[in-house]
Amino acid sequence: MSKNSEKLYGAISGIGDKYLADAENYKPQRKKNRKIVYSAVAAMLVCAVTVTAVFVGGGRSGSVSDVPPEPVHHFSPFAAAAADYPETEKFPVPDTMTYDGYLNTLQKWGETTAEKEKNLGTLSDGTTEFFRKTVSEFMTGRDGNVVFSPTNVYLALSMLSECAAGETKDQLLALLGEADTDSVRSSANAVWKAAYTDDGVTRSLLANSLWLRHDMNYNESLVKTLAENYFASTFVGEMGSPEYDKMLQDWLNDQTGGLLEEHAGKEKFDSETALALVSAIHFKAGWDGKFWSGATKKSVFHGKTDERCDFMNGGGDTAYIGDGFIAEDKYFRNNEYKMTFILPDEGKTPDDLLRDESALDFIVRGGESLAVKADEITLSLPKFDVDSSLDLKPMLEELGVKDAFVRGVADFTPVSPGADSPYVSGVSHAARVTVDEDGCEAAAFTIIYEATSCIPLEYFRMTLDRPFIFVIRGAGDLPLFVGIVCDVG
Amino acid sequence: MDDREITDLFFARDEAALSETASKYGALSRRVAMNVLGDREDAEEVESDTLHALWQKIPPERPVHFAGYTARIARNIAVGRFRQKTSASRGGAEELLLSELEDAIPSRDGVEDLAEAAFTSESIEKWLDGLRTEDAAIFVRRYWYGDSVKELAARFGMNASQMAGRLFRLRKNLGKYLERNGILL
Repeated sequence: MSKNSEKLYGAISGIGDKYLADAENYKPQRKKNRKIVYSAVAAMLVCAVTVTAVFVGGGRSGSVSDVPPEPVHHFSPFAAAAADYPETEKFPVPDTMTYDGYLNTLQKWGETTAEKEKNLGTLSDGTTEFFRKTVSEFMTGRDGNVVFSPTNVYLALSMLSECAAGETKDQLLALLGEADTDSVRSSANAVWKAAYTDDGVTRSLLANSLWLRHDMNYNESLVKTLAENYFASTFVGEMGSPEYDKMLQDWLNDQTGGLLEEHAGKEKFDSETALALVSAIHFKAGWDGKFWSGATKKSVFHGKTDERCDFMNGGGDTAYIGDGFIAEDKYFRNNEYKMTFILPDEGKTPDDLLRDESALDFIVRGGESLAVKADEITLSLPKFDVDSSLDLKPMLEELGVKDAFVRGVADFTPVSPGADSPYVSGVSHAARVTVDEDGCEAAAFTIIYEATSCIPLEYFRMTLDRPFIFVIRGAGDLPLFVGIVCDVG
Repeated sequence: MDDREITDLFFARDEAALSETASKYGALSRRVAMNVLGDREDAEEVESDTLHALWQKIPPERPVHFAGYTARIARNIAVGRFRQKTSASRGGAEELLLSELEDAIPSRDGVEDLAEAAFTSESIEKWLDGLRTEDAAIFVRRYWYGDSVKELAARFGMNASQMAGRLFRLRKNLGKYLERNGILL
């Protein structure tokens, strides 16, 4: 037993009589309804996917031409190398094992989670700053719903930095908040491992890939680096051919569970594309405390227009009161990943919060200091399905990544030594989040939140009946997805 | 009879204070003692010793939270009795609690020790203040009172595995709190 746990136990032993009396005198709420909820409801699923693609144009050996080259021969695309993903310790399922077996499995699962958090603890402040900058820049001033995965974009840009040199690389490193390639690799590896899980009750699957053209020579060590440090699979094919486009679209659909089919169908290689980096994340989990379908009721969400939609009603897990907002966490089944719903105060908008330093900090990092005690925390959550696609190029330029997009200035010489440097012709990001009871109804999403300002609170009720922000957090509160829901219709 | 009235009986040196306390908090004293000693007869003796100690302490002390005050006395007596009997500093139940609490120790490279000066019971109290009342009650009952996971599960209307999962979350949550509040060397 470590000295630290002895000290912790000692500190717990010294808490005041009030806390002992509160615990002793607390009368648990009746749980009868909750049991009905468990047996009556189909799995409550949250699914989210996002794709970031970076297309690097030009740069084939010998020329940077606007005229597409004639293919020498028909080339069948193929997967050159598949990434080897890590195994995830399974989360225990009570009904399938003894109680002791459950505890042992939970302990093993907890050790892997602790390892992820330990790795995340090595992240530089720059990584958090990256999340703050991108969440604020990418999400403010948008018209309508917007969904964005900070983790996904971080990994895509980390891979891109491996391909860059000179000032182009410096600008990318500055945005990533890292000093050099080694620190980028270390942080990206920690983020990847913290975000990735497939523990049987929570799936947060990440996939990176590298799409090469068949008639170009690449730096083999770069391809190896991306495979080893970013779990990137490699594909080779004829840019601009329908077969290669289909292979890309199929890969996107495979990695995103088909949730982004419409967006994936629009992704195509240009015949000038020298290389594409693609990063995807697919998240799916059930709530720890499910909503009872019998409690779902029609109510009005006050978006751009008033929309009458289904609100699911149940319990939240942690309540927060911040400066200008209130919020609630609701945990997924593994009790580690969670979703945070943030409702701006009356008269404030999601954009106001995204421009406010303290609110932005809460969105990106969470914040136990804002937690408030409440006997009962309730959450009214409308079914919702929101998606958006973003052209990240102008936003990245705004954040200082400029040279990468300028032909003749961009320095991606590590991609193919000896050839003219390619440049980044576009960065697209698409994401979708659905919160639904059965996953098949297109529905609206709302959270209702009503709170009093006195602390401690007997009841903390949240009614999200106007535009709000949500965050899906992974191990160590890593922000996997951030979104604004303005409309649920 | 409410706690204030019981305290008044102690101040009046009225022996009815003992029967009223036994009636209201005897089970609490026995439970705390059982969790430490694991023996029913010993636990009953602790209950009796607790009443005696209350009689000695009140007055001059006037407890604000009578239940917590009584539980603390019972626990101290039970721990002392355990050490007397076994010459061991901790029982198996306590070792189990310590093992569980390892989950709440922030794991970061280079961290060898919690900063003692900053790490006080007050910081645990602040953390408890931010929890839902039910979660705070569950945590204190497990790691102060030593209630078993199965007992807690029955009391709070869930199965033992669900309770183990809830406790796991609370320990991890405490770990994050300790880390973010700089309670590290």
